[in-house]
Amino acid sequence: MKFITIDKKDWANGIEKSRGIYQLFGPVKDKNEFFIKHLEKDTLPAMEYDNSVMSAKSIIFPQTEKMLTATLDESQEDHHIMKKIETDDTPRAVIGIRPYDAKAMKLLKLNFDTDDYRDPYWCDAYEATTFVGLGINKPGPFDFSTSTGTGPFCDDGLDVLLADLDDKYLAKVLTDKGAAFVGACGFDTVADEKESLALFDILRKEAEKNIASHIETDKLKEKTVLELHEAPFWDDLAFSCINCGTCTYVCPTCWCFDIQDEVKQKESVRLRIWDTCMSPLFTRHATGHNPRASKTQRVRQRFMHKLKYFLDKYDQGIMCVGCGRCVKSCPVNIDIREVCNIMNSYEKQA
Amino acid sequence: MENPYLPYPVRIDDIEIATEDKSLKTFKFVFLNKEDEEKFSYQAGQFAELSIPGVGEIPIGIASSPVEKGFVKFTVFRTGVVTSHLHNMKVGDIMGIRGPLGNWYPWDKLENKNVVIIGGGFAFTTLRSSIIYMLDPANRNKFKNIDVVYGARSPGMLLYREELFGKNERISICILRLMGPMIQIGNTIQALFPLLLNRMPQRPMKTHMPLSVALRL
Ligand SMILES: Cc1cc2nc3c(=O)[nH]c(=O)nc-3n(C[C@H](O)[C@H](O)[C@H](O)COP(=O)(O)OP(=O)(O)OC[C@H]3O[C@@H](n4cnc5c(N)ncnc54)[C@H](O)[C@@H]3O)c2cc1C
Ligand code: SF4
Ligand code: SF4
Repeated sequence: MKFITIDKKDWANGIEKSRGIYQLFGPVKDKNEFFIKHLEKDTLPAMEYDNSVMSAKSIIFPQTEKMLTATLDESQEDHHIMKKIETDDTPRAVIGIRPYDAKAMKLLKLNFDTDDYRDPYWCDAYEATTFVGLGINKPGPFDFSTSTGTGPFCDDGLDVLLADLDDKYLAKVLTDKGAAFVGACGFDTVADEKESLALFDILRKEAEKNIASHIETDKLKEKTVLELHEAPFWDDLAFSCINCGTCTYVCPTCWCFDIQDEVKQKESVRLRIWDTCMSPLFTRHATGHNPRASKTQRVRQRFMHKLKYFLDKYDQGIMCVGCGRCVKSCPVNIDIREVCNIMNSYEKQA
Repeated sequence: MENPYLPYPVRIDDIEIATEDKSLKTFKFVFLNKEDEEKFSYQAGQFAELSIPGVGEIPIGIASSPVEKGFVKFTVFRTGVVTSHLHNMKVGDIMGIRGPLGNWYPWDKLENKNVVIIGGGFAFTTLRSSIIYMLDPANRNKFKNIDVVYGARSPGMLLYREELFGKNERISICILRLMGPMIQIGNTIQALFPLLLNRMPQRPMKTHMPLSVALRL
């Protein structure tokens, strides 16, 4: 680990310089909101943002991704034989990603990179990416990341963590990947380690003071799946949900996708597309039978997966990094913080 | 590690109509590349994704058994987009299979035990796989009695009837009316049936299973 000081006057030049090696991604303002997007030439990451509407997960796990292709032209020798579509896994860097989004990538990794299966699309993209995080000096009202094992200056899952100090950035370089990126930018003013650590600590404490919302997760583990599943509160919690799926699309830790085929003339392409457990189609069988036919069942599934099944299965905390996006975006104000606290404090009546 | 989404290319080698009403067909596939057959090493009870480029892929239980070499078999009910397309395909057509996926029956735990196999309708596919596996000379003496209870909507809807129940002279077949008087074969089934009957729901069931076969293999 080392610390580098970057004068903001040098920032634009350094970032442009890194394009020789990296494709760049970062926050971009679109109307009044921010999105994590590819940074076109001469576009700098918009570092003075609060939070992006969508998380950074699409950089590694695009909303629609081409996986396989085959020709249907029977005059070709290899007709109907599927092949992998070559992916662009040259180095890329995401600049200004929020720390909880980087932490979320580590949770996604549990699903896409296992002992039994390695998802080459996700893993190759992940390995090609350098994550340059930006600490959150003033967390917004929806941020509850300190109660989900991360926080505004958490460096877990990051290669570089930047702290914005008005006229300069202080960069905490955490990995070789991070050092390579900082090097490619030509940022090389080494800062004193002790002072930098102390400064990061002050910034973290200041930022954490701004986080007003917290959740309780300590008792989730000891409850049984069955008692939570059968708890009486689900109908009430699900009542206002309109099944729009927004909560799952904006979430950095939701990983479900559907696989579909498309045909253009004689060329078939197999795609994967984000799916959502909030839609009745997600589980409907060919017979018409649907094991999660009711809204209550689907809302329960989402929260049980995030707050109980994931916790039990991986023992790595809950499947939520506290970014608050679903809370902010839900059109009917369903709030995972409230649901989590209800689940955590639920005691079955004898 | 390989790309788990990439299907192995296969050729349809045979298509058999599996039930009287022609709603189910059994497809026999051979791998275009011999080494893929080895990579597709499966256990009785697992499923695979049948993949038709340009149409889609569907999860289907593996009906062939690990002891049957040189091909894999699947029995498919015609219901929607992919299954209807598959039913219209011909011998010689090329498509894909990926897997195997899912769990299997705990064969080691079943050793030296009486085994009762209970299945209904066309969920019997992976049970065919299991029966062929257990009846294989290399495996048969690992298990004691093997009793099979198999129900379908009508006798014509029983899968693999000829193959599993017809030709085996050691076994007797009887069609049982579960709600009516019944003939019981074998101690295990005798012990089991009252148990099963007690648990039968009193209201009409969604899946009707008026006819059953019980036999000892
Ligand atoms: C583990 C497993 C084993 C199965 N084994 C068999 C078998 O041995 N024989 C058999 O006939 N059928 C089996 N099925 C059911 C079979 O997968 C569906 O009938 C089939 O997917 C219907 O596809 P379709 O395109 O014709 O229907 P559509 O309704 O047009 O399907 C549209 C899409 O939804 C998906 N889909 C539809 N139904 C299901 C379902 N039940 N489960 C998962 N995805 C679904 C399909 O993959 C397809 O892409 C099995 C299902 C599962 C989950
Ligand atoms: S569940 Fe909500 S708050 Fe938690 S990570 Fe997902 S979008 Fe963020
Ligand atoms: S965003 Fe809100 S309304 Fe939409 S599916 Fe999620 S919980 Fe339901």
